[in-house]
Amino acid sequence: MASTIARVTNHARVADRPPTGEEIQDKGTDGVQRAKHWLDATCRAEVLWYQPRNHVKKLQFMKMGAPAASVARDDYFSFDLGGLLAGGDDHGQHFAGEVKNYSTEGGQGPQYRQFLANAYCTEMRTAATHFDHYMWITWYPFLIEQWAELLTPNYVATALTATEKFRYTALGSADVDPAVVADLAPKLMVVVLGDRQEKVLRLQGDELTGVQQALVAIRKKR
Amino acid sequence: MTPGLLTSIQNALDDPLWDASVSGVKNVVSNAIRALDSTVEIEDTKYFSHSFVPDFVLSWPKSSAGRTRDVFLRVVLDATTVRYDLDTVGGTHPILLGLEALTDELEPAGPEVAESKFHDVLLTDPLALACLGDGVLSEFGTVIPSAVIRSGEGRLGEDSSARLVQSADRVFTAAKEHVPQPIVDSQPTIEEFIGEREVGRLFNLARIVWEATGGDPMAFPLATSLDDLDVEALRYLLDSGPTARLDFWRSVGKSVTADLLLGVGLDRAANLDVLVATNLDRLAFRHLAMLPGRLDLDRGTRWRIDPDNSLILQGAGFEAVLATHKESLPAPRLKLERLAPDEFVRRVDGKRFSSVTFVDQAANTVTTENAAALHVGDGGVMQLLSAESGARVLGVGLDVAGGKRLECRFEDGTASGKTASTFSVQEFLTVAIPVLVKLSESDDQLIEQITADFATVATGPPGGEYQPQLLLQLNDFG
Repeated sequence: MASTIARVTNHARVADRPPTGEEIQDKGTDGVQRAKHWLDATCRAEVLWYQPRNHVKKLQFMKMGAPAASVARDDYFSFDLGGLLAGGDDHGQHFAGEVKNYSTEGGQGPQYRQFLANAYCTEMRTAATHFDHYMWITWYPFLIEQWAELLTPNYVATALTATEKFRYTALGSADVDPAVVADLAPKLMVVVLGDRQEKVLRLQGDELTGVQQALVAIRKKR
Repeated sequence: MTPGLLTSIQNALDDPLWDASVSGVKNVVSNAIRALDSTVEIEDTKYFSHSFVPDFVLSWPKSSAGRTRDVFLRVVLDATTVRYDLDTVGGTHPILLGLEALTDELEPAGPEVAESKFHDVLLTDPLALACLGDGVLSEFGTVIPSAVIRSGEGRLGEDSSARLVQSADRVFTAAKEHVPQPIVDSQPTIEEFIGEREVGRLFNLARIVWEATGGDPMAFPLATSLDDLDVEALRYLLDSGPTARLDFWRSVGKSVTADLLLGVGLDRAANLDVLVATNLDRLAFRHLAMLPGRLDLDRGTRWRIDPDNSLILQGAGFEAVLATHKESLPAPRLKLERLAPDEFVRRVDGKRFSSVTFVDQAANTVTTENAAALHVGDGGVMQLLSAESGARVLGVGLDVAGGKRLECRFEDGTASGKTASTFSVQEFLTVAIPVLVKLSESDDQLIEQITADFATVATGPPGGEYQPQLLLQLNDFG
């Protein structure tokens, strides 16, 4: 009996324990859907494909360091969501996005650099013809002291070689191509969302219905 | 129940090309919806799985209700998505169609997704739609699928879809066998998944089946009305209704418009003749075109419905095509002539007309219009025609009851109202056809017979105590 009590008291309280893998996954899934709703609501970005089950092969790419025809899971990465822009001269441009539904900075630094490596790899794999925009969508700002540099070619180039893992993803055995970096940097954007922003600044009621009907009418003419 | 629809959707989703994947999914889904309800028109909005713009807008232009319904495709359909959709678009009575099978996670849904929030909202999946589609070819197999598309509500997965189909099957079997209890027992399941209006339509059809197969209408266990006769009900009656009960068809005819009749989509039907024969005064059209008689046609029936949306009467030497839209008329094939004055006089004798158009000897086209209607006894018009020995009459504006004018054109054998007027079949038969064409004796008798039969029906006592020879005449198609 005493040993049982000792075992129990050695465990942390449930509320203090770290999230389970499934809880992390659920929060991630929830974040992707919330990001989709927010992007759709801009009436400018339409998310067509998104995690977790949404035929993510459309958003999946092989790392540059992977052997040809590799089927190893670690030799691939995928973006959380992808879609099209609507309207204007860039109507139909493709975007890809990574979503971090975090309530703290939570290690976004290395993850953001991994995202840059993924984006660079995708540019190489698709000859820079597939995506026009790469979005990092988060609920918590990160790398505050480097915030102004996050979208610059210099930061991108540094990120690609920061670790072997990033190098494997973006470069394989090749060197960083400054031209690719120069083309990639202007395609990057960081979007910071907030819980209250999503709820309060969302179209409602008659305005929503009116916008919906107007969008259908516009698309019909296109 | 086949997984074909789900597999087809998944295959389309697997296409690596974005455009092809989206269009592939939408083609599969729109075809599946159309297979469940052939009367629906589907507008593709060119959006895909958008948060608040539907993928499709469904409409039913031939329905008087004027309703539309949005369809939202959902690649991921979980409790979070459903809650968001109910909050955002739930008020538009949409169909939320998951592109994968509904998961148990949604049943039961969390407290934020109460049953009441599904009022007029249908949450369903490809397996449920496939289950509905499996029964489409059976006798009443189109009733439930179309009811679900138009007004289905609640969470309809594969199992509940099967329950719904089975319940409808029990209702119609019981209606044919005049057994009330299965109809009553099936009512809760049908009301669980179908909106109020469509529930009424469904049980109304069951009542029609009950009565048409000889059941006592007072013994039908649910309250219904014949006023909501629609395409499915009429199609059933034309195929399988009680041919000999003239009072029944006179009663049914109250709810039958020309557009409803033409929308049935049957070429010939066992009861088309009796329906038309007992409702000559109610079926109204805007245009008539006369064609030569066809020797190759089966003479089993007098009337038939043409796929180009017209009702056709077959005589020995003519076909009379009646249409509500001019585009439904065929190109003229009857070699008609401009009438000589004496033939014109013979044809319009006994009829009143307000205008005559003719070509004079100098090839001028002249139209005389009179404020008061004329007849051949009026000397003025005949003097005008006979004074021109070479005159040929092109057309005449015949006066019809109610102040309407029916313009008959001899050169192409057509007749229509001066404005947007409609005319009953009876008016076309008795006024226009004998003027437009020179009828053979047998065709003359045919029209006399049709109108005499109708006169008996229209003036007969309630309860249908008609002359026995009327039934023989209606069945004599030789």
